[in-house]
Amino acid sequence: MAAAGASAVKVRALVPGADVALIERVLNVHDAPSSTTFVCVGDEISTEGQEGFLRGHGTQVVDGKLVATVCGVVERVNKLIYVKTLNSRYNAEQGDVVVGRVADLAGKAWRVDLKSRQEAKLLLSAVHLPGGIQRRRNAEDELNMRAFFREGELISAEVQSVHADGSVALHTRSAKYGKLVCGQLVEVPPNLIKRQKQHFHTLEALGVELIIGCNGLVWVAPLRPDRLAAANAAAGGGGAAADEDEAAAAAAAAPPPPSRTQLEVVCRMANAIRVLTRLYMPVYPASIMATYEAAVEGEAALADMLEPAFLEAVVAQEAQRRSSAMQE
Amino acid sequence: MDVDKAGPGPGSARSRGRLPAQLRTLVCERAVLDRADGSAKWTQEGSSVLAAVYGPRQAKLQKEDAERAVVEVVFKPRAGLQGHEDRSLELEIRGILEGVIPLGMFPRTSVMVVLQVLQDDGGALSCALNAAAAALVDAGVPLNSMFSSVSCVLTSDRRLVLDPDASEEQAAAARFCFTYPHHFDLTQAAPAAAAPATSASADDAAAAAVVGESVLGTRCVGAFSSDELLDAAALCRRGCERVAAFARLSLAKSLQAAGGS
Repeated sequence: MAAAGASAVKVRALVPGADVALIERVLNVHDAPSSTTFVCVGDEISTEGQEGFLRGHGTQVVDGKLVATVCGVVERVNKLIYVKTLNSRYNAEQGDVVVGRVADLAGKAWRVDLKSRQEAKLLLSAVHLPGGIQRRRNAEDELNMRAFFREGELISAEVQSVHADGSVALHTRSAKYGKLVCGQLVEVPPNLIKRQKQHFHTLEALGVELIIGCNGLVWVAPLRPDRLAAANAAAGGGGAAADEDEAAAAAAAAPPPPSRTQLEVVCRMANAIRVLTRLYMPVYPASIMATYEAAVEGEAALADMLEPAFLEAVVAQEAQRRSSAMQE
Repeated sequence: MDVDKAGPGPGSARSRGRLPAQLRTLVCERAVLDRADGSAKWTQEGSSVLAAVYGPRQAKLQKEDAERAVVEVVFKPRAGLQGHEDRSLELEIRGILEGVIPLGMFPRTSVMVVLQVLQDDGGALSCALNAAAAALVDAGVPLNSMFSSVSCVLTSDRRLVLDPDASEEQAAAARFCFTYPHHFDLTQAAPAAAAPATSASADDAAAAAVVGESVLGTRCVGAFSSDELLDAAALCRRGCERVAAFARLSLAKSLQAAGGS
């Protein structure tokens, strides 16, 4: 049996702090002092010079003083004061695009796991029904809930509302939301995801569909014609009925299985996101594309993208980008 | 009783010449586990405990509480299955954690703390509580106040000795473990005129640890008088000051290494 082409599975020991050491090595800094001081639990946050402030995550008011409840760095944005920690669970805000896994069916709703503090609820009345857009859900719809989403399936949705006790309600009232099949899911710390105008990205040149969920779950999949039609329909807006018929027709015809090159492109994008996660760099389309192109130009093999050699190249590239941006 | 006095005398010679009120070397590693929300490994020379925190996350339907978070503690001994002593420690630790976590902020969620004793050379409960505190901070779980824990024993000749090792615990007449809440008084930090690279650490070192007057939790085993109990409480409170100062230094180091952005 020819073993020359087959590469063995590499097992690497987990060394905490190895990635930080790698970054320090490339940038040639050691024990870099942080320019911002941190607060610990119970430390008072100064609100001097600010009449009226908004209290954000990680703070509470004790005896009229603003006190931190987590250890982290104090961030001030206009009047909002909050404490940012290194890792924290996702906090849902209204209007966020999220990717979640259906955990359970309960009554007239699905319970979706968003990797947040509580499971979110997707009501039957908040789902986009095929055919008629607005119609009353009857008992038959309730019995056929599993035909829509079963337990364990991935869906993309938008946060409709966040209640006072922290429970989250989702909706999929657009053709672009719904079940996600045939792709890769990459889990990223939610702190690395910035809220942007667009979270759905169809990269037609590469043939890749990218959904960056605000809760840290990123979906990468080969672009399918029905998803492209749905994206165009959502972008187009008006003439909804005609576009949906188009989308339905495209979905009815089963899409051809993706080719090997398409799968490799998807894997390379997913690995680019994993590289950004290892280096704790923000994940957004520009940074993903920059890492992807660095891998393509450097001709890094798919399996070698997470090796220290490529990580160092990405760190050097990012350092150069930031220094040239600062010089402008 | 004068515990700071060192020197020879019956029952006062500790291994490697440690003073009666001297703590063992403390080491704290944070973020050691990949999949837990927060983790920490706390070592006091011979004793070492690994803590992992999962949460706040969705609680199981049977265990969820509609108004507050539920704290679950699992305490695993170094070898063997959990015994009744370990279950009793779980109850104790849960009571302390319920005192510092604002439970009303996360209804229907659960915070699970798993403690695994890696090495036991005396003071395992204190080690576990300190590890749990560091892991909760690493997980970003909001807390009302930080806490630290210290053990002490009453030797057979009625002397109090801080941070005992296993042999001292075995030979003791009584064992105590006290947990105190603490916060830092930043107004006492003097502005340092040193170079910018060291000013951050100098400020943190100068911030005085203020340990609360009232105790979060106590665990006392043995025969002792009420005076001895109060003396032990005061001695452990002083020990907690030092543990608190160390915890803040170690947190400062780990946050600086991870980058300020």
